[in-house]
Amino acid sequence: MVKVTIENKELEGYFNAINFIRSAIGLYSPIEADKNNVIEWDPEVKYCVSEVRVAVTRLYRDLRVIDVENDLTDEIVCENILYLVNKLFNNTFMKFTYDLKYYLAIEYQGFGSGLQDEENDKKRHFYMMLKNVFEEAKYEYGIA
Amino acid sequence: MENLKKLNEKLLGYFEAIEDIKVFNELHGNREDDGMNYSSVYGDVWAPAIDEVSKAVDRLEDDIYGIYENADLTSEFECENVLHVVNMLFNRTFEKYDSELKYYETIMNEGYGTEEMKEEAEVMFLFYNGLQASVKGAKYDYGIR
Repeated sequence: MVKVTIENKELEGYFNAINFIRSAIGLYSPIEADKNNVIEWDPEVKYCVSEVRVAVTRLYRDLRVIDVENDLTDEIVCENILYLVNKLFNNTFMKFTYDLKYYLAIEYQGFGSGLQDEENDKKRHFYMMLKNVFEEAKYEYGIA
Repeated sequence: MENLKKLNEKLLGYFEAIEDIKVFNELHGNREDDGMNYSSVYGDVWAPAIDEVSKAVDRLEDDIYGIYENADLTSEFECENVLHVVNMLFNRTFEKYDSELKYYETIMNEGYGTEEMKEEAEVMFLFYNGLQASVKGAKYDYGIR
């Protein structure tokens, strides 16, 4: 029973981690957001933000369904769900590390293609920030 | 000179590979004008994913075009550098969607969601699986690493 309680707390950690990321990146809709904490992104990165928002909303929805639909008093179910949730969580954010690598490749190419412009810099910074926030959330909530 | 010609052909191969992937996955921006069979069985469910991948492919195409326009493609050394960068951009564009494939595969295989959730995952898995297959095929056809 103690183990199940710990695992339920671990599961709750994923929701907290998602909320942590949403707050840091400003992924809440204007209605949900704390008015003092609204992040106004540059127009160049607005599409990047919306893509992340869609992925995070899907993750949150799927995790809630899994949380509600299963018997979390069962130790085996709890363990399996934690494994599943961890994979979904990591895959959601892994996706955006490829965008970061894409913009890093543009930055490092270094032979004057004309692509090292301000817009690409802003996008690279956004994905770098997302990666850092993701790592911080994992550390904060003990996610593998 | 022969080497330079081969390098230029390789560079053009990326555009052809992208075109093949676009056709295979119905990624053309204006689907009605292109006469694509967009409203296939899963059209509505796939629509957001198709739009997302379309945007990534457009970005790739624009960036490759920008690189070619500004590079001196008569220089063998520069051609090799350009090929290296273009290859990185190409692979990173599509590797991104392997994570999506794994996401839906996890939901399908682990069996802890609702039936509705699993059905949606199966349909989305088909799209990303098709995308992955077409990328592999195009890479093979145009000798892309």
